Amino acid sequence: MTSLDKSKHVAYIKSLDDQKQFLEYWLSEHLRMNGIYWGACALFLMRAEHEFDKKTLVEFILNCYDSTYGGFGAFPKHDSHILSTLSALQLLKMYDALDVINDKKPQILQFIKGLQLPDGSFQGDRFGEVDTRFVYTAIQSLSILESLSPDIVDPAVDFILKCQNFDGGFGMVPGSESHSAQIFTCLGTLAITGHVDKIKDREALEWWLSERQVENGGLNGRPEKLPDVCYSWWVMSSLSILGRLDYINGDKLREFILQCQDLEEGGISDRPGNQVDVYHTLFGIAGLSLLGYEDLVPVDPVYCMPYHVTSSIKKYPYD
Amino acid sequence: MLRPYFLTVWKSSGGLTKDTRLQKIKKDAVRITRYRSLTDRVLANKQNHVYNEKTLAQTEQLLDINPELYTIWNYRRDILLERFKTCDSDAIHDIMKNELALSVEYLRRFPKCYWIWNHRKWCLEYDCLTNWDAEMAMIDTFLKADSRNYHVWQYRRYVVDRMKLGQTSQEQLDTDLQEFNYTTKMINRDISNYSALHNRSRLVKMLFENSPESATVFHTKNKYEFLVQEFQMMKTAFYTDPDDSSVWIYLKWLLGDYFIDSISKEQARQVVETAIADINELNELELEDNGVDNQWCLKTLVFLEQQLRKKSDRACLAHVVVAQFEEKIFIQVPGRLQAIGSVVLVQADFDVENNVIYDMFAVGSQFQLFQRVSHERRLFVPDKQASAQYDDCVKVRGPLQRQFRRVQVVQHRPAQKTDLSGDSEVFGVLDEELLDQEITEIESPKFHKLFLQAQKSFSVFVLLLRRSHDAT
Repeated sequence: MTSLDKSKHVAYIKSLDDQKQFLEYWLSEHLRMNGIYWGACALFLMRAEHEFDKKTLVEFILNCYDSTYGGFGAFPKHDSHILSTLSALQLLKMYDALDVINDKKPQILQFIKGLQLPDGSFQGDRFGEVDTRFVYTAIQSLSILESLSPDIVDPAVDFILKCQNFDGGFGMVPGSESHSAQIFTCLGTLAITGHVDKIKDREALEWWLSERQVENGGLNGRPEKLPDVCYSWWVMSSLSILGRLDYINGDKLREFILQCQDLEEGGISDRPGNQVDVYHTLFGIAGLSLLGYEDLVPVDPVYCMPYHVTSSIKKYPYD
Repeated sequence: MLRPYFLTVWKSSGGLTKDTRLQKIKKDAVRITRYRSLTDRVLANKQNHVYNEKTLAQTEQLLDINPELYTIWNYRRDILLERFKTCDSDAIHDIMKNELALSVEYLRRFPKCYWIWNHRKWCLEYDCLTNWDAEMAMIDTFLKADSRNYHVWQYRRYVVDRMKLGQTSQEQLDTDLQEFNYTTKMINRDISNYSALHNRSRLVKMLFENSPESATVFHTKNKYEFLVQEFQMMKTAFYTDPDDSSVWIYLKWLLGDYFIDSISKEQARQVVETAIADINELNELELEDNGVDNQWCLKTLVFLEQQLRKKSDRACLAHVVVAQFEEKIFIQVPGRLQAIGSVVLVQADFDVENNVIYDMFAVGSQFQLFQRVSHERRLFVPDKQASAQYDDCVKVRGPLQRQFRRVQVVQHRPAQKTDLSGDSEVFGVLDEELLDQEITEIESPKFHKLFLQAQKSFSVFVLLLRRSHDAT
């Protein structure tokens, strides 16, 4: 049986920044910060984080700081967005470099807190798109900065709870269909803020999640959809938060993830035989880490960073 | 969902031969120069707050290449907002019509791009003259192309909510009803449309909550009538495709507490029992056709048994029936539901020398479905070496898997001196006095006593047990 080809995956992640002769490299600027986090986190889980140069990384992150709105963009000169802001903070946290933004912390906090709307939800930036993804990213960002407070947390939790559906799952906003990734963001928010016990219909939720595994061992994001490696993370982290990892057949899932490896060039794809990318590479590896396979660094299902990194984050509510 | 649409383009150049790689590099060099110079120009103008026709056109040029550039969408909106300062609502409407047309064009190419959908919503926020019919028609077109597109359904709910803002409460009800009927249409077209079933679940709740007594469809607010009708629809659906999970998940909600708790006990029992009979029948057919049970039938049956027990007049006691075997094992059997699970397992698991026990399960398995399961031993492998195959045998996962697992734990306990004291979760206790004794000492009269006690909690099953005991 195949195993995880770590050296190939490390090489693949390293190669991503050597693609500047290709148009695709430039067409993905708007994702660069997230992409670097996906790559770095995968390296951490494979104990290869030193493959990224910390100094270059920190410089890039600081170049992406957007002084107009106070957050981080995905690329220098791009606007602040909560998604790239979280990725920047996760990177700094993982590489133990949060102190480089000490002088900017008040503006960053103002940016994040300013995105919260009266109903407790968060918009992604000043243009009003609301999504439970942004609630999670905002709450995790504040958690990394150890700046959560009841005036932020309580309405956010209320909003999350309103997003639960007839099947026990959670969606993007109240009323929208249950989706494994949105469930992760909702459970993640509740876990960071210590409110997992507020979930109603827990059994229905666990049941729905446990039904995500399909015949070939992979997990899907919604009923009757195709499996995709990234749900190895969204579903498994959710089940892990609920203490129900055993609801999925781990061996079969492992087999599915390993089948999605590109054994020649490295990297993991969404489904066997497809083109690999760094996003699926991380979430495949993180899924394997949650399941305890392949001698990987244990990943924290709530933060999607190694436990040895998140263990130093102050737990909310603060004393 | 969280998967960025453009992500797959950011990849290594792997898989290319040396020649094609060099060709691509050559070809890309020109395009990169063009793209980067355009990006640089637009971002420079953005930083300098240049808001005019030319810069607006440039954003379009750039978004046309890469609609994921959220920063450029932001810049575009800033330019438009500047222009709105000198516009009346008609002029804004005209501009927005153009924006909507542009976004439709992009959405045809990138139907799952968050930023484009978001731009569209932004347009509707600023335009007070929106043509809602045109929006609904656009949504319909997109749902025809992909009936599960998460964004389109979300956008539909958004548009409907916006429409309802300007409506009287009666009109709002009519709108919800139209939406409900739309889900019927979508489900009839494809029963596997879980997105439609999801939307239906919330519309049903809204219609029940908001309908006045005199309303026509949810007219008497009689959930029972609705439930009976809806079950018929779902029955057709699960007969059409018994393996489709969408229908079963919806059915579980339909026969769950939301409805069952708001109709009379008698009605609830009737609905659930009808469902059990129908699903049993379907499973029979599935078994004939495929040689295996349909796992959705099994799971739903177990769930329905639970629902039925809730509506039983008899209060459950400690939920325990104790069974004794050579291997000295106690099985916890909370109610009929788990009795069924246990019957399957026990029958397969044990060397049945004790007649009482044997009869018990022979009779217990009058629940035909489970008799078959136990005889064919498909859900459980009796051989301990084979218990490694357990995961393949027990297809039931999720909360139900727990009760199967629990019995598996029992199976692995050492044969002698079973210590029951610290494991009440596994074993449960009906009669503590009994558990204090060596299990081998439990003989028929004690079983009898046990059955009598258990009878109080679940009538049917225990009645059968007792009959078997009397027979010996």
